[in-house]
Amino acid sequence: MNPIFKILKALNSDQAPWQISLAVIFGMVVGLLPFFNLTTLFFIFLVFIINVNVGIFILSASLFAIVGFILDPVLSKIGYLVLTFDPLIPLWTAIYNIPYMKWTAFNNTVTMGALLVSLILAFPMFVILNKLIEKYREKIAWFFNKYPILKSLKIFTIYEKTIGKD
Amino acid sequence: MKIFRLWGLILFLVLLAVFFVFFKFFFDGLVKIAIEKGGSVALQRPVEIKDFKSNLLSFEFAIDKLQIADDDDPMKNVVSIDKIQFNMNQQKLLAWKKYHIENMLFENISFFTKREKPAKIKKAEKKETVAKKEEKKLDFESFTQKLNIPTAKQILQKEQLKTIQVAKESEQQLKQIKEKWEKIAKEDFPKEKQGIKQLQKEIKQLEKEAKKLKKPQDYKKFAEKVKKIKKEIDQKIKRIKQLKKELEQDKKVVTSVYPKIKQASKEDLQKLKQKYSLGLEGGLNLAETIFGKEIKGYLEKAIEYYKIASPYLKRGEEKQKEIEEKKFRMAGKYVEFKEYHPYPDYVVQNAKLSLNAFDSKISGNLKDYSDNQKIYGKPLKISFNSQNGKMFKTFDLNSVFDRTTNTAKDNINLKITELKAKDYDIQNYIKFTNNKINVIGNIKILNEKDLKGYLKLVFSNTTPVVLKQDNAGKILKKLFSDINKFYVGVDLGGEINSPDIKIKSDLDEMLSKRLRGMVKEKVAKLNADLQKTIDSQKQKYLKEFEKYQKDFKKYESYISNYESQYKKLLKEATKKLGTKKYEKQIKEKLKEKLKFNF
Repeated sequence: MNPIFKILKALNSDQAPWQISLAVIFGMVVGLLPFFNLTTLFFIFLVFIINVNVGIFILSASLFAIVGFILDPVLSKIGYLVLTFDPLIPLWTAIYNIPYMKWTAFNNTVTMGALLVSLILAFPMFVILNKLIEKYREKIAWFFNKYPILKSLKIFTIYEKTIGKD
Repeated sequence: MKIFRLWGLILFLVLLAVFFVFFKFFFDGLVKIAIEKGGSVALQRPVEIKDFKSNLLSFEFAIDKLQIADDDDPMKNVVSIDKIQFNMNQQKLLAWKKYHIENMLFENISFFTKREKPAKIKKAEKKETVAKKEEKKLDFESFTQKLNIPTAKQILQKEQLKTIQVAKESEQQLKQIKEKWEKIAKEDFPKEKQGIKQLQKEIKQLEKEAKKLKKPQDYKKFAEKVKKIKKEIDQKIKRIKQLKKELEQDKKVVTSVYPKIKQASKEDLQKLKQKYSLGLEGGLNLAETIFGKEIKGYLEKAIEYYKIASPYLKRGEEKQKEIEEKKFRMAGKYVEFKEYHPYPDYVVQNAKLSLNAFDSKISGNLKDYSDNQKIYGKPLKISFNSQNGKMFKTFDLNSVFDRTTNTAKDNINLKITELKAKDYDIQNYIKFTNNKINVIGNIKILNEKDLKGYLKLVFSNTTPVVLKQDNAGKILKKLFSDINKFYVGVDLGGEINSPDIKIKSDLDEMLSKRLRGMVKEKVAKLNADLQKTIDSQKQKYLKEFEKYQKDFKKYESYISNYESQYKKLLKEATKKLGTKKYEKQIKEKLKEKLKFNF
């Protein structure tokens, strides 16, 4: 129940929808990446300095780690196709020859596949999630305000304030 | 709503610092586990280290007491190294992920040492052992039997002589001939004698009758009698001639047996000499029996280590190929791109080695190890050199593992002088002590496959000590006395996966020569005995033959005598009883009678 409760709490908090959506997206990127490397560290760094929901990021990363584990062969195949795609080889070669870039493991087939898939999905997911969170907040706030028992759980107080302002 | 949070940056840095402290705290332990696990998998035998220490600021690392256990004996290490120390080039590692070791130290490398605690040998780690070849053993029984040459009497008891066989085959025929002539001599010859006397009598009688001839009718009767007696003599002569012919034929038969017996006895002697005096051909193959197992064992071990190590000499070259060939698995694979400034991933520029071998410390040097020699441009060189060791005068091992071109060329040179070797024994019968060996060898491996080389161990100062005083021991003592210098050579060929190891030595040749000398006397005596025994057999038959010859001569003289007597009788009969003479005599008598009547 704890993760769901955390999600509900985040969804009904006073955080802006982009903070939750971006946390999910960062979680997706980190979760899909196969192992710890400079790329992972870079996204974790982003999570810390950008004002996103850390709880949602952790949940998202855990969930996508499972997805990544299942999709590993597919991601590896995609990564391989991209890394061995002739027109892109000069680009990869140039990156490969930049100091410290080898520690990003960009030339790893799963890392490249996961990064590519998550970056492609990032923007549409961001838009969709934002919309969904907004819709959710509108409908659920009305519903929870209607019943005093649910209201007494106090998980929607912050949002209530936000709604109240409107 | 703020987009960035300052406290997040601080928290990130704090967490990063905590992570590094944690990493530093556990790093050494984790690396220790990684070395042990990875090493055990790679080498297929338990690998243990006592301690791993690192300094992440200076990039210095140290491994304490590395032990690689023998998978057959948990209380033995195949290799153990007291200390390994190295420092890595930080810039190359951090910026380019290149493991470049400038200086390395391997202290006290030892082989086949005893362990303090038994190694945990997992069943899976244990390699499938090929069915052990049956250990070569000297067959001392047959060895001594070779020197226990039987006597001529013993040989003749179990061997079939052709001389006897030939004699027995002719025996029946000779017997028939003998009986036939004995019968003739007994029955016919007296008759002939009697017959001659009778004929002589008859001729004399007719001579008397001839003087009394008066009438033509008497003459006619006389002439008929003369004719008859002449005919009779003629028949006798013919009969004698026939006997003579038969005697000649039988003589021929008997005479033909003689050379047959002579030839058979010659063949018998030759055959038996060959059978009982040349049993030492082929030698004893002692060198292979004594040293073969050990030398082959060392060479096979060296080849096994070479096979384990050689992939690391060109791992960098094969990285790209690997990604295309291997299937996709968890954690993916790395696609390698062209480097603007190519450099191998792993390099050890210089390593100092100290080796514990032959109860001495041998210092060595490893130069220019890299996982891609084509890029690095230098071959790997490993050398060990030492002088005046506890067990040798000089030790030089120089090897070059060259992968700088498409043809992999490896060359190993070994030279050890005055190596005090352990005692070698042959099945507790004889022991070689005080061995001093000069070893010289060269092994070349082309393309990590084709093997060619030699190893020569020259033993000097060796003292053979006989341990058992039985029959074989006594023979061995005599055989090995004064042998204190010999060589054992090893020819190496074939392929790395199926090496062809041949062992040769002048020891076998020397021993064979000595053995031949030892048995020469015995063989000479045997030959003389055989000659004597076979000759006595031959003589027995030849005496018989001589008797035949003698008899034949006797028969021959009888027959000749009878023939000449018959011929003489015929002549006499013709001369004395010539019918014309008596015809004339009658005619004259008749004329005189007619004169008286007229």
